[in-house]
Amino acid sequence: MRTDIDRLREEALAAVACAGDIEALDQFQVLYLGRKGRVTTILRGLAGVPAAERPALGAIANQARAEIEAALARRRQELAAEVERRRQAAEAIDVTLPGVPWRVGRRHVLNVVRKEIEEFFLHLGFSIAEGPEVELDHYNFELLNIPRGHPARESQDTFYLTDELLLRTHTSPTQVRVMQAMAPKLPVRVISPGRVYRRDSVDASHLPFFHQVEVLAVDRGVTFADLKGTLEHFARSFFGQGTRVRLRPSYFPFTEPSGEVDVSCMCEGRGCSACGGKGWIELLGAGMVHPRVLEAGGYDPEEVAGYALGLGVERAAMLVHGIDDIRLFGQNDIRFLEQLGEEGC
Amino acid sequence: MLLPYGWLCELVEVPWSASELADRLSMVGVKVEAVREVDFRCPGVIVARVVSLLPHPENPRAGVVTLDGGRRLSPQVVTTALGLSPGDLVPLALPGARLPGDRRVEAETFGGVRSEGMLCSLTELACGQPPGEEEGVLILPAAAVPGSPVDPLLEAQPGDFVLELELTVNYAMHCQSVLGVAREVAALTGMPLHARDHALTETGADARDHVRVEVHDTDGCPRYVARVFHDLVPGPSPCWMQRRLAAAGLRPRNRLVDTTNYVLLELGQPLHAFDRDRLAEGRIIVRRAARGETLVGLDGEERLLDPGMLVIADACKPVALAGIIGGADTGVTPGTRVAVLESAHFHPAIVRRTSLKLGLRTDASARFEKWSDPEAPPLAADRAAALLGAMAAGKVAPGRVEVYPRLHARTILRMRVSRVNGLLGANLPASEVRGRLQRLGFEATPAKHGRRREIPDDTDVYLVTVPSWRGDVTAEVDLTEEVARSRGYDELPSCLPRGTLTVGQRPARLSAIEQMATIIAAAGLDEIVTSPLMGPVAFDRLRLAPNDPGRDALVLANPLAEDQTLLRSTLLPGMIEVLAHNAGRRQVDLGFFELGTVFRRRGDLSGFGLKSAVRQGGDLSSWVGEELRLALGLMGRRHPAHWRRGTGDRADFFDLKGLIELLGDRLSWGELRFEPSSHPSFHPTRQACLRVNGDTRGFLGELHPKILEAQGLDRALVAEIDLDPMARRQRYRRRLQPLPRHPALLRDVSFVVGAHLPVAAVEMAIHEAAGPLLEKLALFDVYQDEAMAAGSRSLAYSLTYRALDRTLTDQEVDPIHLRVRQTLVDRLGAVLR
Ligand SMILES: [Zn+2]
Repeated sequence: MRTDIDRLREEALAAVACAGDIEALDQFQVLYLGRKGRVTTILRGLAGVPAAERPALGAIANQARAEIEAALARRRQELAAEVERRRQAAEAIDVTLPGVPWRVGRRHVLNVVRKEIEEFFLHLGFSIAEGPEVELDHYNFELLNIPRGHPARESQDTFYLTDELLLRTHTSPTQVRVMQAMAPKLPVRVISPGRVYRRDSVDASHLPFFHQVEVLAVDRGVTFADLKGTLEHFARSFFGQGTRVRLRPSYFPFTEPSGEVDVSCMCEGRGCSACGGKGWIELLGAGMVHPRVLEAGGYDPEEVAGYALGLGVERAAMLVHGIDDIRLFGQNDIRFLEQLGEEGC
Repeated sequence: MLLPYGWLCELVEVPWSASELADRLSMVGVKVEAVREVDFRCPGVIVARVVSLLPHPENPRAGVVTLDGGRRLSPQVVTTALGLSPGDLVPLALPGARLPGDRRVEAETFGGVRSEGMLCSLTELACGQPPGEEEGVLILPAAAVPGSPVDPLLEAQPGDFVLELELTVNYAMHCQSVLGVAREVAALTGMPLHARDHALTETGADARDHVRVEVHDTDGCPRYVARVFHDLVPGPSPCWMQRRLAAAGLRPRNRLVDTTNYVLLELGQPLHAFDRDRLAEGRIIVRRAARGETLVGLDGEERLLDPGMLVIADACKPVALAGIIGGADTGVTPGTRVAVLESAHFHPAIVRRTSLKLGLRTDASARFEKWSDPEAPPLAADRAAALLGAMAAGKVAPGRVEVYPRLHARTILRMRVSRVNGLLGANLPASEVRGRLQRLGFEATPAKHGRRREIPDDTDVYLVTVPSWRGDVTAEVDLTEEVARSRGYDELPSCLPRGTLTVGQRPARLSAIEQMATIIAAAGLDEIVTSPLMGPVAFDRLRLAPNDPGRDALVLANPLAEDQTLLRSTLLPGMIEVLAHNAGRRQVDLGFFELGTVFRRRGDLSGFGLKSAVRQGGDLSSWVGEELRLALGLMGRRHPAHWRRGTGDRADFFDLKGLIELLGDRLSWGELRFEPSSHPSFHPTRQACLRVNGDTRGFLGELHPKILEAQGLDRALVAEIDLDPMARRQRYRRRLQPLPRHPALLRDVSFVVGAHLPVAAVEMAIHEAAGPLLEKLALFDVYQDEAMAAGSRSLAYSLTYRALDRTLTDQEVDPIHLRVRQTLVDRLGAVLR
């Protein structure tokens, strides 16, 4: 009897170990452990064994049964894992296939750059003001100390609608508009972005319209030093920490003293096409608000002073992105827009 | 302005190389754009002796010259210069020779005769330009050796430099001459200008015996100086003068003209020469033109004058427009015996007005209309006399004839050192401020100065005398700039802005624009920026009828190009152009948007009164509307072809509509309605007008097939929406709606109705029938097939019923849903499925 049990156990364990799939295991389960299974039959046959041997044989038979059950469970797990492995292998993907593009549009580079300029000055406490593009000669010229016949009028070839109405040639008329609206309140800290027009024929560096950002600060005790400091911080924020700023005397009828601002070129003076080998790049015009302009704005130049600067957005964008043809901005070729615009800003 | 470096060095000590000088000048405001090298040497030009002269077989005005060029060279040259004699020594440019200005000489054949080189005039050798009037081949001194190079004879040195100045308006008033720049150099170095002695030999009758000068308008002409030259000898000016003129960009002509140009460039004082014998009665009268008078200028053009213009006249007629142009009849010619040289100071305004009125700008008017130094005329006249005398071009009559009734009073400005420092944020001692001004030619004395010799350094208020050549300095701030630039802008302090803190704010309108752009970009469209100018042909392309009110746009009075005569009144042309541009480059699966201004005429601009606008604080809104619009454009597929998506759907009307609905929702515009419309630019049956809270705000749809065809587009969807009313609204903050706490019940209904019945009508009927418990109505299927009755379509809706305060039961919803189904059948004739 004992040998029967041992043989049966050996045989069952070997069969289980060889079972190739879950169905075979299910069959063995029935064959050995089912109600009419062979182990069950043996256990049932213990009734006919002498009582003295019964406990020992019973223990052996039960142990065999437990071993077979464990083997079945173990094998079942192994086979399930195998099935899982096969299924997963069949599910394999080629991770080098291209991802599905999530198409997100971009802001136009001019607006990205304009906004960056705006943000710098917003953080410095400047607010944004808008002025009209169709402007009065009075505001575009007269109140900015450029009377009729002034030589500066020629250099700014102007589109006129009527004798008195024109397309503004700069954002500077907003200076006077803002001051007139605010006087006598102090301080005035305003920037004014917008489109301006010049009667220029189209070529790689000229369009009849472009964008500027005007900056104006008026307060008691504003000095040329404040202007210089603002310019230096702006240049470093916009072009990078190492950027140096150079101010050259220049002329604008509505500022005195006036200057043109150069920033150091990224070539560090070694020479490149951006700076023409000079190591400096012209960026913008700036100066202390002319007393006559302060008066036009409703402020007493003996009491307050101000500084102003006007920055070309296209120019700034061309400098930071290495664009050599201003016409690209208006062409709106997707290959241009995609390269330079910024998403979700 | 082109400034020869060597010329500058003649007037002032320059301790720097040309390029270093350029940097230093730029940093004081005299901007140097470029430094160029000029070379006046003539490699390949040798001395040759004329051996024989024969007439040219075909051209009677030319001759064939055989020459002895030394070294057994005996070339034959064709020349039009007659009057040569055998034995003359002449400059011969051999084939391959180079004249200044990079002009090359090659062997050529003229009328069948081979010419092995070219005989040169002085002008050709001096500056490479064609010979002046009546100028022949240069005859070299007898000591010259045939075969030797001509360069040593002409003292041609290797390279001079030319500085290209780009002067701003104010510097053009005092720096547009060699002297002006020399003064800036002197201020930089602190060294004086070189003293120059223009020795002058005067002979013959007194200048007053040759010419009488009267000035009737002394405001227009505060100073008039004349010098007289007699026994004039025509001919080219000397080599050095020609070279300098050429380097400065002027073409040499003859001794007299070159001299006037030379003095203009050197001293900035325009001069004009008259032929004395052609001035009636030898008189010069400076007066206003009489009505109806005319003048034929040196340019050959006749101009009608008016009493606003200042002229130089003789006893009977105008002979020059003061400060602008001389008359053709009285100018100097090679036959002129006696010349009267005018050196005057005219009022800038009268020259500018006349020049503007006649549309005539000359080198002279460009200077007078800005500022000319009222103290320069006698110096310039004497300088010209010295130059002409030295080149033996004629004899100088003794004395100047001058009318100068009121001595020019130099401007005196009150200057506070404290104010200068206050504006600069600096702390310069008064002595430095004064010293810097003095270097620039200003004179500063204390306003209250006793008899003390020493000026105490704490003196604040000074009276500053402005030099006569600085017409641009008229106020204390101008002096501040002089001090600042003399010190160097870079040497002044800098700091971050100080003062009361302020909060930087972006106006609501601009914030709304930024927000909108962010949403549209996130939806996958790229932003474009297009031209604010357009031409009327763009309206034709949009298929607007000739009388369409949409053609009413603001017109430029002085446009530059046909397609830029109007301010845009719509964003559509720009959008269509961008779609076409990209489609033309096979970039088609794209979407674009533009947030831009359009311009609308609101009032009659012909009756536009400046005064009323200025009275209204410059508010132009009753004449011109600048309105914010949004343009959207879609074309091609919604997604580019991709291995997983396949080739994807083509964008259609409903993509565009969905985008607008998204915007309306995110920006809380209010109720949106889309109604069929008949805009001429859109596909007649695939377009809609957008109504926001009942007001028409724009159009959307497929572009009209004719426009697509003309633009080479396949299918494109565009929309244009007026955003002004929405963007101007205050920002709207939504209040939280409580999240539903009770479950919803879902019911579907599908049915077939007439295809002509708009879905909007169906949905309205469902809503009415369902009442307030219908939370959401979603159309999930629309289809038409042949099995259906013609003109019908099947619609399938999913309905979400929910009550906020209780859990709905089937018993409650079933009757409602039944009512919906019944309504569809009864009211819309639907067949339920
Ligand atoms: Zn560089």
